[in-house]
Amino acid sequence: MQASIRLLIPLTLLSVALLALPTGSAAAAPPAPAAPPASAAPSASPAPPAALRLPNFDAIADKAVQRVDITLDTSLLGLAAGFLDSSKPDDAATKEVLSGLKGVYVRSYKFDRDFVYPEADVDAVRKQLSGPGWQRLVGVRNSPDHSNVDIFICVDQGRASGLAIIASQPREFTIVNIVGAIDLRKLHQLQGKLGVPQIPLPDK
Amino acid sequence: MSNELNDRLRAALRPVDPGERFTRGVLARIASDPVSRPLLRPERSGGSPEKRQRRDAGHSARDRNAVEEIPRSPNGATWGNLGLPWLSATALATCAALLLMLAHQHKAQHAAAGLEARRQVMEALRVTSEKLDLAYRVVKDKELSGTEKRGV
Repeated sequence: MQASIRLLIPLTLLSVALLALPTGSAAAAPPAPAAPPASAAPSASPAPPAALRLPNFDAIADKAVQRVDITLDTSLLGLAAGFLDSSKPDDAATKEVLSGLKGVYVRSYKFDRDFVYPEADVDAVRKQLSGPGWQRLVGVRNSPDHSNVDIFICVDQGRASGLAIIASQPREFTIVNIVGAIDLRKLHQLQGKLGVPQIPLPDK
Repeated sequence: MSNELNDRLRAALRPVDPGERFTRGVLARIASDPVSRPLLRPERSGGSPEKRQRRDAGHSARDRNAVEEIPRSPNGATWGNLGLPWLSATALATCAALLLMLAHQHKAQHAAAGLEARRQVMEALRVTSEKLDLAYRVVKDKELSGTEKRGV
């Protein structure tokens, strides 16, 4: 009797403690959409150079007809990789691409009118790519339809440690920032899958 | 308070010996009341007399004659009769069920978070590939138009 009471008390305390714990809400809830990778308060470890400071686009979010706002840090990428089935070719290829990545950040907004978004914010991101380490792979300026596409790669000690894509048109803009060891050949393996085009790679 | 009242109160509240007769009466009442008597539990007496003898052989005489006092509640019920073992067993089962439920909930949340992260990865790759495709098409178009111009 006393033994069962002795067992009951810690069990009850354990149950109460478990109930009081944040039950994986951080993991269960979708990640905070407006958390730019490098605009947060400075932490103990400095942000990798490939991480861009993305502006807060909350002010224009209501005006957008289509919005993609993705913030995936290392832990979420690891979690996602755990839910990819290696026996499926697409998932296996995606898993390969994800290995070594530290973050994936996407901001993509489409509007029903021209130039609703602040071009200065997009230009501010472009300016960050003029810093050391970043190399432009593709730069397209199409004057008639005002479409610009820039693809940059961050090179650290001879290895690609980040990728940035900035595409802007009168009614939409997209910023993609991938942080981490990017193997372009692994990305190349995704060609034909998930809509990834066939991109000729430069010879080593 | 006056001294007179004080003295009268002291006199009224002074300890008084109830006397030998009263004490004998109380002790006799205690002895005759079954509720007030401690419950005497004899030792186990199962099995044949030979077995009992063998079992008792290792025990001292004091142990054999030992009685165990079990505390009783005023109405004569022991703790066991109050249903407390059942209560604790039910509580234990509830705790176990709660823990299982929490574990299941945690697992479900983890799975939901993982699937959501997977969906976001796929969406990010889709957007990335869309823009790569756009850049590729524009570059290819420019190459083609340049070739055509040179051809003309």
